[in-house]
Amino acid sequence: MTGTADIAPHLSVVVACYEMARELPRTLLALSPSYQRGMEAIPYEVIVVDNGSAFPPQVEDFAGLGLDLKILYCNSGLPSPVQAMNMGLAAARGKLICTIIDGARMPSPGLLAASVAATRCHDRAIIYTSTLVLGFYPQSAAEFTGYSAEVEDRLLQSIDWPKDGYRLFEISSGLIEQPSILQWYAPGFESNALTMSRDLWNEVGGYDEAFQTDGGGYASSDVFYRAAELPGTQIIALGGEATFHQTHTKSAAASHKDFPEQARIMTREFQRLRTRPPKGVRKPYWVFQTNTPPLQGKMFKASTSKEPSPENLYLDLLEQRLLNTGAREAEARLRALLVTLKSAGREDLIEASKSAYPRQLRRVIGAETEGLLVGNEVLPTALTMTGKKRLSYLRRAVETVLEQAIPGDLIECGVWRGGSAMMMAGILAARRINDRSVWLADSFEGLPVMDGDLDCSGFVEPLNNAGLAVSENTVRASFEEIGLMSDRIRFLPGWFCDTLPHAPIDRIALLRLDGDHYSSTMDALTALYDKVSPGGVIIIDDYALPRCAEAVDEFRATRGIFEPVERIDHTGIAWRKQA
Amino acid sequence: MTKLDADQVIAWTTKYLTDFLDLPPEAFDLDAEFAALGLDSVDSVIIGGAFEETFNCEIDATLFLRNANLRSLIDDLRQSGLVA
Repeated sequence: MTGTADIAPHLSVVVACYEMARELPRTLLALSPSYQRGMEAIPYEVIVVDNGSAFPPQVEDFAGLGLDLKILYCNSGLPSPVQAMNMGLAAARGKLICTIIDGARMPSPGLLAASVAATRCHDRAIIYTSTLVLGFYPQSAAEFTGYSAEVEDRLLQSIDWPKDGYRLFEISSGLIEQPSILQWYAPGFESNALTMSRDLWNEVGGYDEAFQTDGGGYASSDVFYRAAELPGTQIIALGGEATFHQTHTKSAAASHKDFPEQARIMTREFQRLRTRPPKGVRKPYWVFQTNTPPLQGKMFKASTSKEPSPENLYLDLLEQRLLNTGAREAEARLRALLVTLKSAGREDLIEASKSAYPRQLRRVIGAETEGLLVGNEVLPTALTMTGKKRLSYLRRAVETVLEQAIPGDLIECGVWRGGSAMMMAGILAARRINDRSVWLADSFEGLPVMDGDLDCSGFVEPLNNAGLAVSENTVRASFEEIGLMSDRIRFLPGWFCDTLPHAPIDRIALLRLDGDHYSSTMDALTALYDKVSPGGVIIIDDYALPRCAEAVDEFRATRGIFEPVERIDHTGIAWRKQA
Repeated sequence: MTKLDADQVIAWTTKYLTDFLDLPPEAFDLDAEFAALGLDSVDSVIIGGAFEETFNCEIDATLFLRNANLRSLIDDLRQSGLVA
């Protein structure tokens, strides 16, 4: 025994360990008075129970830590630490007892003081602590990520541990596949560490020694659940504190490829003992917020920054690209298709589709470059069907009118899923331009009924109108999702002939027409051309469609427009209004 | 070994999953997709363990992973001879 053993402790910390020569010293250092903050006036003891290690820890090894330390030796010969934990509970002298069933768990610097303070908030308090693991990936995925004790040692060195214990938050992640923030407050499956009054521990009856699988199986979850079920108890989650799991060979979480098998064995045991799923506690809980550095610090900074700098906008888009959120609709459609085929017993069609894949891939790549459609079908995922050439041209055109200070708004007539308008809006956002609007004029119901001979060229098949109809809400949702919605994004829903003549637009710097038909093109030019500022750009997307081309040629001829036309690609043209 | 009764398996799995996922029983039917209900791969393994314990049998570890819904699961168990 070292330290102040003669003073009756207010708090006992019970820690179980087995073959933890590497991990236990760090855990005990993290429990020591030099590391724990706010415990100067609160006497506490630490009871380590070794569960049969070949070279068990000795009190002398930790003499320098200034701990009121006791080490017990449990010789049950069983792989489960529950007997060891109960042995420690029986030896505990504190009015409060905090259990750490896994000796590889380091507490954060304010954990003990916060636990003691939180128990004062309720007579029958159960103090829940967030459970984090060192490393940036679940330790169960270690075999894929290469995580090891050596990697962990380097991580600890990188934050100069133990200088500031709160920096462990910087190198930790959630236990399973959740970001740590999700586990921050919500009491879940188990608490490690778990603090209750001695009376409450007695009422719970300690750990159930029927749990005999490696590591105690779900014993820790079980004791937390049983305590929460006791009448009048109140779970209090510690905000700002946590335990941090070090990787070790005897950990269920670090059993690498054996993890699923371990979970299966644990579940069988739990089902046998409790005949219900091993799940977390669902009970209202309080939060005891310690306002310690993690909540003030860098954990949240990056994700809360909404500064529309070019860098942030780019990274937001990159994030969406990496998460493939843009392909959500297609994935859902594809999945629905596969499920339908499978449930109809048509796996043969799924097989057959594989041979068609290379050809389709070539067509899709072609469509990405040249734009438009694959056959008569729209691409299922893209937010624009203009293709790279026309999208790049649009970008250059918008940048040019902005750099040359051509006055006016940007407008697209015929927006489909809104991709081209998003490019316009994205450029304005990246340049922090707030005095120009982006207008989206569309029926949001697809193309109008063709006006007999006027619109029907006879050369082009009527397009798949159902594929062209995208609702205003869908377009708005895409703008929201991509982070470009603002009060400067203006919608003009309705047929061009109804909306454009009265649209509240004063000046236009860039007019992009994508209406396909003669009448749509002519309506838009007639209503808006005079609002285009000198130096402004007019882009026609569908000049390859004969009736659209006819409308453009006729309008230019009638109005005496002789500015040279530039060809963008096989269908896009543009000109600039003379200054 | 006596074959399991399909109705019993359906009733148990429904109860287990609705308990496990905190869902109302009416949210669950033979065609409800496990993944869409929120079941992940670890959960599938856990349920497999509980299933074995309850029905005193051994099942392939991928049973709940390779079947998207209860209907498919029962068919699978029938084909492997576990369910009558």
